Amino acid sequence: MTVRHIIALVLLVAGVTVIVLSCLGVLVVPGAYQKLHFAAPASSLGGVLVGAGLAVEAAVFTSAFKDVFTVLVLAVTGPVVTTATARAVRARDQRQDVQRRDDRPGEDRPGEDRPGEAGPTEGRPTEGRHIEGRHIEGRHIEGRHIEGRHSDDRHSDDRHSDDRHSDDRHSDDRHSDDRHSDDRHSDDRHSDDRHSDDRHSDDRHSDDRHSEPGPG
Amino acid sequence: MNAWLWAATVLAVAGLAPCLVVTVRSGALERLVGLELAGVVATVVLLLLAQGFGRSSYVDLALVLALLSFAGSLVFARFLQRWV
Repeated sequence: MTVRHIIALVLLVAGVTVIVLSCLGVLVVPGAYQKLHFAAPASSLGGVLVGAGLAVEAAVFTSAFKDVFTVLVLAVTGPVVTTATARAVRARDQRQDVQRRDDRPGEDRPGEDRPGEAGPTEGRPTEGRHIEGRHIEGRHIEGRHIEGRHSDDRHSDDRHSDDRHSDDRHSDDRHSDDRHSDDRHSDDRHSDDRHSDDRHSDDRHSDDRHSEPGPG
Repeated sequence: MNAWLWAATVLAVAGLAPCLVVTVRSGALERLVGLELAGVVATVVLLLLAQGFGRSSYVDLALVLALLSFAGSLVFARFLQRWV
């Protein structure tokens, strides 16, 4: 009886010491992660030690069943609560980082050389260039609906496109299909084709001429 | 006053007081850590009081506090994870 009582007292003192030390550590240490680090042993180690002391003190196990069960509940739920709280702290830190990053780029956006956001910010201008290249064709294809929407993007491009649009409007009568990317060039190409056709016909004539002496 | 009641007193004074101080300082999640630790300490104090008074039916109080403190801490943690 006395030996068991002494063992129970040793376990009790150890558990109380662990809990008090963890409380003082939480009080002293700054930061949520460090506080969590010091708060975890109170439930999983101190509570279990105190429950072991209670179980050793009780003569029969069934009389200390509720004590042991309560301590087990503490030991099981302690890490769960610690993990959930640590996740909340991480979410808060990430949100603060995002806010800080959102505050910073407003000032040095023209620099555009942030290594942290290299992926998205480098991907976006190339996409824009591709889209712009497509827009130059698309404006001609879709006509004047897009012109107003894109007038605030790049003024020089819009001026060029307006010029081309005026050309288009003049030439829209002839070209109803979507192949009129550059009408003057296409006209030149048509004329070239015509010339080449003439040349081909000349060739054909020459061939004819060449072929005429053959049979003749 | 036996050893269990002394242990409960020591825990209630030297264990709950720092938790109380932590709970009224710094940010929301640091306070939540203090609240969780206070729940654990209060549960152990109730266990020791039940043993010291020799009333085994008081242990129910500690059991209920352990379960409800777990649920409350989890709800607080989820809440703060989304909106803080």
